[in-house]
Amino acid sequence: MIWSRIRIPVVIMVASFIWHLQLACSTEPATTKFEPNLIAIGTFFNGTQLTVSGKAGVENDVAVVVSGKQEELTLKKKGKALGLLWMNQGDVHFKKVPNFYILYSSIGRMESAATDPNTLEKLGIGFEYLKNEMEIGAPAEERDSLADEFLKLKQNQGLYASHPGEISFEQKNEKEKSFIAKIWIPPQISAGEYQIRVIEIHNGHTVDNLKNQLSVKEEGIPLMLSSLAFNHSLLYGFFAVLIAVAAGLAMDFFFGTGKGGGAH
Amino acid sequence: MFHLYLPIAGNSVNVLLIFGLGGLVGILSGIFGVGGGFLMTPLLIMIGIPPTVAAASDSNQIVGASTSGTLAHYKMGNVDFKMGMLLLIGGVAGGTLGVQVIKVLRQMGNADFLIRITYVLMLGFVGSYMFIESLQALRKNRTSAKIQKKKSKYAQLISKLPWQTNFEKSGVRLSVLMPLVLGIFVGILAAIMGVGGGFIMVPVMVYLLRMPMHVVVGTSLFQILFTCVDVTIMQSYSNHTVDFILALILLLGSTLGAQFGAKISKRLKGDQLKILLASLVLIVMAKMLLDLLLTPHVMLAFIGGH
Repeated sequence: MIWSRIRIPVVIMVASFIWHLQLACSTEPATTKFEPNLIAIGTFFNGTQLTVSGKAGVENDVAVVVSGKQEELTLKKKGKALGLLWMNQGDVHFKKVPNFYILYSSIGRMESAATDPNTLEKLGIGFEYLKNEMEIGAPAEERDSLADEFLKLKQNQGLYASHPGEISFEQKNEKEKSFIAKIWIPPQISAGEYQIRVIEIHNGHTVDNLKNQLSVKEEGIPLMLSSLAFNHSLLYGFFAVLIAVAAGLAMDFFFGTGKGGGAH
Repeated sequence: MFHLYLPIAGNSVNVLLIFGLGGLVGILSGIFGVGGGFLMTPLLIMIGIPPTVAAASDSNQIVGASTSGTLAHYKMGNVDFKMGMLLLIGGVAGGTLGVQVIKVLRQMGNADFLIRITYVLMLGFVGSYMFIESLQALRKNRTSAKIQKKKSKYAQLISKLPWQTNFEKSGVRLSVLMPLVLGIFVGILAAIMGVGGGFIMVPVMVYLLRMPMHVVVGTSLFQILFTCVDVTIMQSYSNHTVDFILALILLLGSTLGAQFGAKISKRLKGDQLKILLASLVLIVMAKMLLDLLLTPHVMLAFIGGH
């Protein structure tokens, strides 16, 4: 009898509690914005800016990682021949390395909450973590230096970058603050699918880990030319030669000296 | 602003910079009859083009520059087609042979080392010889130099070879075997060194075939044109490394440059041209030597790079 009287209020209370709980959990994912979700590589593409913004706990740090798919690479190792001359000496195989890796984090800022400099590495983020994860086909004593050189090579290529302290905050209220990461996507990025991870960190632990897809696609002339180069390569070669010869003839026609210059 | 995206290189470049680079190399090409790959490829790598794409797209660009340069020199009567064709036939045969030779060398190990050292030594020797010889010739009376040439044992030796024929444009009488064999030799070297061969071909034509310097420049360009057509098609087909947009911007600059180069070449004397080319060869040698001696910035490199 009692149950039947309190049944309705209890159901309403439980439902209300669950609804509030869900709302509390989904606050951050719903407010985190990624702009844009699609990058088009057109004729005049020269890199672009990706903006990730959202809210985080007032004492928390934020890291944003844009990474590409894992790949295997074979590179040439440089060494000294006869103890004097620098040469390419043998191949080194690298496995489990992303083809693109860009990290922005608030750690390193004055107001950053993290005191442990190894926070990111412990959470599976950053260059130190990549170094530990990659498989290198070389003797153990060379591993560390080769991993460092690999990171240097990728950074020179513009495909890896780390920007500590480059996420800015704005105080919202006592509990939360808003963050904004302005991520520079270099023109060296290739077409494909990429993952954006937004990690909120508190006391060296992940409190939120949000993932989003980023598509990079070629369009217009770049798309046309790369499909011609890869799918009709012989035709592409002839076409390239033909245009070059035509340009040579045209330049001679417009700027060349007339006939009868005579030999020396 | 002024940026264009290169779909094969996978990077964007400043159009004006690439155009200027093409123009500069085109001028050198028109003056000296070299392809200019020695200068262009490292500069392209420096501005972020992958090494294999830089080398292949440069070949495509040289097709344009050498068409323009050959035509300009042809109008001045500086192209010996007969000699050029024979050198070309030898060059293609030598190039094919050279590709096989390099495979064997690579299997033996440390081939890269031997190749680099040989190249540096050869550039050093050729550059110094040309420099000293042309410096002396500039000081001496020209006629006395000609008499000296006729007396040399080398001239007597080559005059005994069979199938002697006249090369009218070059003003020499030689055995057909000479350009064929020397073409094979340069073809092998070019394939092994991974260079176009202009730097080796020009001194060979000047000193071993005894051709006048101005005809050497025109004939060398004619031969380079065919070599680079072959390389562009092969690279497009097998490795997909020719970036057409990059080549197009470069060749707009270089075809224009080649026309100016040919005009500058016309104003210079043969020995002046030789001494300038010798200096250029020595600069390239010094650069290669420094690359070997200085500690690299990064201890890893992409396969196919320098």
